[in-house]
Amino acid sequence: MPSLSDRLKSLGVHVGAQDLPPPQSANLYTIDRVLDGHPASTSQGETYVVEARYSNDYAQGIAPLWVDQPLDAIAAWAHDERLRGLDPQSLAFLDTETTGLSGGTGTYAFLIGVGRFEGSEFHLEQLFMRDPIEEPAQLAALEEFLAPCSALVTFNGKAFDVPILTTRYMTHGWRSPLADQVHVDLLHLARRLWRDRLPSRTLPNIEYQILGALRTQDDVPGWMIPQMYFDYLRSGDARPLKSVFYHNAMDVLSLAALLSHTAALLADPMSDRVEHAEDILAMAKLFEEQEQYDLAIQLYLRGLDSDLSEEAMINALHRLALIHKRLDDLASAVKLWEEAARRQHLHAHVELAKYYEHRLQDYDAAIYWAETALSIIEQPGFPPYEKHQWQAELKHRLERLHRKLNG
Amino acid sequence: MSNLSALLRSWRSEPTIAGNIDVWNSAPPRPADLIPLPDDLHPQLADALKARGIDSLYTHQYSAWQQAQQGKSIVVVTGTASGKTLCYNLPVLHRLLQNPQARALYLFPTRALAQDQRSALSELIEHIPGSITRLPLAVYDGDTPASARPSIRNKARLVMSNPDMLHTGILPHHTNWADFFYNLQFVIIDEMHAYRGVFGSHVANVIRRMQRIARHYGAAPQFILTSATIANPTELAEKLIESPVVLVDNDGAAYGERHFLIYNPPVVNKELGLRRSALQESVRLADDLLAYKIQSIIFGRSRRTVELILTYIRQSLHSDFDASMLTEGEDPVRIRGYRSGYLPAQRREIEHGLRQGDVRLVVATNALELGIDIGQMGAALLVGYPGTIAGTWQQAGRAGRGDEASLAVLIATADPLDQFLARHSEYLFGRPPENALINPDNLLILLDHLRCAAFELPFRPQENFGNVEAARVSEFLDFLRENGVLHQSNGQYFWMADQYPSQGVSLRSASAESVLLQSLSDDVPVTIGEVDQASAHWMVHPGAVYIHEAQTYLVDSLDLEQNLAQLQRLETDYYTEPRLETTVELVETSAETQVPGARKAHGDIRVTAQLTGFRKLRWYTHEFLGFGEVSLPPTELLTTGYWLTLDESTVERLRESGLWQGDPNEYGPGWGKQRDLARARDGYRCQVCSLPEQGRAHDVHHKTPFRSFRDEAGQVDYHSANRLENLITLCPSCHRRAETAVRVRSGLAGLAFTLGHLAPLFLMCDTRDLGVHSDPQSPLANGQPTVVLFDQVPAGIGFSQRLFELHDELMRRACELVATCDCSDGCPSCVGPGGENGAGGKKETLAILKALIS
Repeated sequence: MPSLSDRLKSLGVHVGAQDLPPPQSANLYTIDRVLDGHPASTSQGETYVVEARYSNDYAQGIAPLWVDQPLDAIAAWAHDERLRGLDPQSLAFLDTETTGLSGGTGTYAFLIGVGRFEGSEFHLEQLFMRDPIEEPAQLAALEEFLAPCSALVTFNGKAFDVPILTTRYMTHGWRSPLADQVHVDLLHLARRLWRDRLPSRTLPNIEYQILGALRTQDDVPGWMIPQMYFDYLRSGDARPLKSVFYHNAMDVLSLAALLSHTAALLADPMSDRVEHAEDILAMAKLFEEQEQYDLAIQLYLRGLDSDLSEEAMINALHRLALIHKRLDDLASAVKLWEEAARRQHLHAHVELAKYYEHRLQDYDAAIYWAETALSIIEQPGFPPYEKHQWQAELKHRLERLHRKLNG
Repeated sequence: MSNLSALLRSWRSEPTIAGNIDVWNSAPPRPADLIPLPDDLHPQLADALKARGIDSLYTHQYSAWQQAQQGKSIVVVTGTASGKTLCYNLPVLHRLLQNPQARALYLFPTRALAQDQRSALSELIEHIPGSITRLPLAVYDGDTPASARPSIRNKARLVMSNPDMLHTGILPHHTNWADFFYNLQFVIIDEMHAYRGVFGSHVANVIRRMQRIARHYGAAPQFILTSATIANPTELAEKLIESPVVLVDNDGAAYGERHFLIYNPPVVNKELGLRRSALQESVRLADDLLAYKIQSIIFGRSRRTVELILTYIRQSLHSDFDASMLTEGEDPVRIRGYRSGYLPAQRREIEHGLRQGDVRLVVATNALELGIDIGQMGAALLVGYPGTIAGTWQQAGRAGRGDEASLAVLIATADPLDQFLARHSEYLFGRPPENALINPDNLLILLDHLRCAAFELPFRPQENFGNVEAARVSEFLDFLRENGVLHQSNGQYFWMADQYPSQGVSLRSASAESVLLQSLSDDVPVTIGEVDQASAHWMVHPGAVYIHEAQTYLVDSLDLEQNLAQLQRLETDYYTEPRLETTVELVETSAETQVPGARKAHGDIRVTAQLTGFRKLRWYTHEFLGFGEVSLPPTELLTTGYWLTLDESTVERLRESGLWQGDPNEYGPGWGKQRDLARARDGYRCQVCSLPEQGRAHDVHHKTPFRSFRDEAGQVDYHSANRLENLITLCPSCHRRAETAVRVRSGLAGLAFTLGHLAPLFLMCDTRDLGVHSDPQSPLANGQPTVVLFDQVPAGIGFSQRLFELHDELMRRACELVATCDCSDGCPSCVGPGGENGAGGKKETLAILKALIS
């Protein structure tokens, strides 16, 4: 009677995964020999924890873990008032290492790195399930750690870490302690601030470019991590896990450093420490959206004074002009539009035409601006689709202007 | 007199039509069998029904209600347009109104159906106060925008979806549906008969996974299934949900007088067994329907047929109605095509036109693709047998409004099954023979779904999986562990792999590897489907004509290393049939018994097949057009089979009658001279198509096959065989039409052919789903003459065992088929087309069959 395996093989199923490490047998390199952690008791049994404490002057690159800065600007950006005036000790910095990226109930967070400020130290805990059977204990330990906290800080946690952890709690029938927490996802803030300057906004890249921190050779690329855990489960050899723990620790520390760096940045955006013009403009736009127009204006002006690409310059001119328009300072707005118009900016032409038509009833001037815009789009090489859109608008405008002029 | 009566009278009296009507079945009108709305029905629901004009229930709706109220799972089997949906909507809505937390899941085989049901249900609950908030219902499938999904998961109480979405989109994320599963009380499975064969076996496992997850949340929902009429509805339902099911089939719907005709296009050449085209006949009949102003629907089996019919009808003019009915443009379009792939907006437009009466004729492919709401027609024409009896009734059921008289016409093609049904219409009108079969424990399929289940929830020690016992489940789990996707700890099995298993499992294929089919659409390669690697070599070999969703493609290339086939969309006037050199070896016999004249058995077999070429055959007439060359390495298929081995005594008797195994033919002395005389007599012209000889001599064909002139002693009467009256001059093309260049068809091969075309009728599958092989010296049975039929699905899907059980009936039916066929010595409608030397094998096959039924 052929075995199931034989029968499946004869039906074409690939049998015997390649490159599997031999299964566990009295292994020298158990986790407690390799890592500096300890078992932790919880209401759900035992799990494994690696702890570390960092003093207040520890820095990731140029960024200390914590600078005493208010989170107001971050609160405003996140549209979450609960962050305003929040005690930094109630922040929890969280990053997970998982068995896969696809989500779903078969994805486990085998390593949860979580940190918070305690007094003058930063306390990092890395909760590790030595075996999936320890998951309930691991989750209970996380819940305990999070108990005094009221806000989460993650990097892409909204789309990834938090949904996965929530799923983990739910598979055991528990409510997730992460639900309804105040949540600052620094990926989104990083995008707002550095989208134009940095081509890649992964945490390691930001760590390097913004914080000036460099990881050692102990690090391992994220895509290799799931397989390292599977190999450990099979072989019991914990040595490769060292780099996974290092990777995770660095992620959490960078989260804290990045938050403090960003908070400092936004608290003093006009500071000389801000070197890059693109950063200045990004902040300008951020404050503009929060209706902090004075600050935005200052930043735009500063940005315009720096070394900008033509496109960035035109954009800045236009946005600044719009602020002035909103504040009813049309004189300033017009000057800026004229500057932008000199640089062939179509929106500026239209704004000028509108201004002359509606504010000053100077139809000749309005027509001038509209016709100039028209001549720009009729130049060869102008993208046909856009041309079509603009033509419709400009022609419509000119018709009306001519009517008003003649009637 | 109504239009329909007038039309039928004219047909009855028109000999060129009446003469072709092989069967005229009239069912008298039947009034509705009604029961007042139940007292315990939620008052708001009762009010809503009354607002829709429903103040009583049909008997079957009432029975469904009663059983559901007792907590039973039920399967409802009643006719088309009999109000089956109320059988489930009523118990579900009642429960949702009574219990504000309760939830229900509706599963449909297609998205179109789900959308239609949602609209219909919305219209009903509109009349329930506050229904928008109290009874939020939603469709949740691949088309649902991502932004809408969280709200549906959290709030919808009635979710409409399909098995594929359940499989990849819902079950692997069940924690997002925690409240839904916790409160799940009903699961509705509509069109249950669609879940048969490979697809059904997969779906049965998806249902197992779903029940496992429901149990995890503490729920044990009731099931309500609906089905078209099949032989085994209770069996299929119970296999799908693995719980007892009550059958509800007391159809109380009203029907007007129903006429069902089987129209058989006349034979144009008796000796060659050729008939006039069914397609052309359908145009003729449609013409009449239009003239008599009967709103009709025509079903064609392929898009090509649909398009041809539309073209021909638009071209033909009938003097009695104005030409504006045939034009598009500013005039309302009266004649429309309808097929899958139309945008919802187009479908709505056509449906609206039909309901308003503007559209007089719609030509469509498969009924299921219609969704439901095109309304009812006055008449339905089926061009060719749709492939299943259930499908035939579903299509025919499109005709019939309330208690008005209706007409359905099945126009038979030259296909053996079509012709068989024309002669044996009791299959259509009597107890249905069709068994919808599934094998949820097929090894490959089960393995796939255990993988998915392990991803969804870890397996606990001693856990079963549906009806699969814990010990067996452990075997699979250990296999998966050894192959690195599961980790075992404390008896529990955890998913430990960086994969999302359900994505790699197609619910429609059943082999370890699939070949992807790609076609170029605007220079962009598009995957149109996939086939099992085991079948790829004969389904999609280079040069094959492949049909997918009623669209034909020609295969350009097949790469078995890359598992990729390149196809191009092409309308062809022919289809292809692979020529395979097959050997069948025994792996293990499951059961074996003696039957009259033979031994029957079923069990595991190994089929090795090598493609050696293929035939090109014209659509509908099955005319042989030529050979295609192709060669591919042999492939091996491990599956289940049913085989029949003739007893030594049977063979001996046949041998004595000279009906066993032809020897190679010689046409004898004087053949050359006779041949020339025949050509001269015939004026050197083909006697069928009148083509004159052009540079090369035409062929001369024996009308009565040569081998018929062999007497019992094996002596051949050349003189009689070759006399001029028995010879006919044919051009090569017409000659090919009458014969194929195959080996002499023996009785055994004829038997295999017949069974291979008849068995699908019982198994509700396509002829391509069954492999057939005959071997006068078969290794399956110690070198004895054997015919074997096998599942084309690796590890088998249940056909073989059922055929084993149906053996007696199968033999009787096969004997009838061959005995009553009009052809002289074999044709595509019974034992297969005749051999090159004029030997059809019909007599031999019949002799074998007679021995098998005594």
